[in-house]
Amino acid sequence: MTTLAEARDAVALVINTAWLAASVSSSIPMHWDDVKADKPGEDAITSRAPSYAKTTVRTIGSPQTTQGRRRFETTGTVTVQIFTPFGDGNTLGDALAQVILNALRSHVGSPAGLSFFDIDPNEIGETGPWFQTNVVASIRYQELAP
Amino acid sequence: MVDFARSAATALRLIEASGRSVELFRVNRTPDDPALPWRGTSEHPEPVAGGLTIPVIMAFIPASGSGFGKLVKELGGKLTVAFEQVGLMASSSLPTGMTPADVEEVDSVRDGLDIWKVVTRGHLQPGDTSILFVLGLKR
Repeated sequence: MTTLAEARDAVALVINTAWLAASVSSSIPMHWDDVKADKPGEDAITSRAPSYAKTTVRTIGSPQTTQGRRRFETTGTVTVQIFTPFGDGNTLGDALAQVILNALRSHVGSPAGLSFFDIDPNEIGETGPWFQTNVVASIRYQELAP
Repeated sequence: MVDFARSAATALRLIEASGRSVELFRVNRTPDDPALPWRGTSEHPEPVAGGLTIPVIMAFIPASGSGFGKLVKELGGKLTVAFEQVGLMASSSLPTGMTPADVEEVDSVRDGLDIWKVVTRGHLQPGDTSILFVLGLKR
C-alpha cells in the first residue's frame, strides 16, 4: 500500500462488502465521511427515523520505521456509527454491529499489509429518535516513500 | 364549531399577499463511482409529483419570529435541529395533483438563485382540514 487513498479504499471496501452482503444490513444506507447524504429522520412531524450507519476513517500518524529505504507505518482508526430506531432493546443495533465486527475480525490482512486490531463495539445510547451503537477499530498498514 | 375552511382561506390569502413564487424539488444523490460510494456523490434534481420542479407561493419569516420554530424542534425529539428561516405554504395553494404526501418528499426549495434545504416539516391540519405547511429551511 503506498498512498492514503489506497488505504482508505481498502478499509471502506472491507466494510462496504460486508454491509451489502448481510441480509440484515443490505437495505440500510451506509453513509461515508465527507460524502453528502441525507440523514434520515430529520422530518420532525412524522418522526420517521429509519436506520442508517456512517463510516469514518481517520489517520493518526505515520512514523518512519526504517533508515534505509524509507518505510512508514501508518496507523489510524475506523469508526462505524450505527443508528437504529430507539426502543427495540438493542436487537437491530446488535445485529448490525455484529456484521461490522465479523468483517473486521475476519480480515486476514491484504498483501499491502492492512490490518485491523482493537476492534470494539460501544453502545453509545439514545441519540434523538435513534439508539447509537459504534464499532471502533484501529488500523495499521505500511507505506513506502516513492 | 370552528370553521377551519375559513382559516385555510385566510392562510392562503395572507401567504399569497406576502409570499413569492419558489420551486420545490427533491435532490437525488448517486455515487460518482458505484463501486466506490465513499468517494463522493453527484446531485441531481428528481421529479416530485410528476414534475421536475413545482412552482408554489411561499412566505418566508425568520425562524426565531415564527412561533413555529420551537414547536417543530420539540416534535423532532431533539434540540439540535437548526434552521435559518421558515417557509409557509398554504395547503390550498398546492398545484393540482400534488398531495401532502408529496410535500413530505420535497427536500429543497429554490428561491431565485438561492437553494434552501428542508430540514424540518410541519403540517397544520386540525381535523381533516389541511391548512398550512411549515418548512424549516437552511442553506
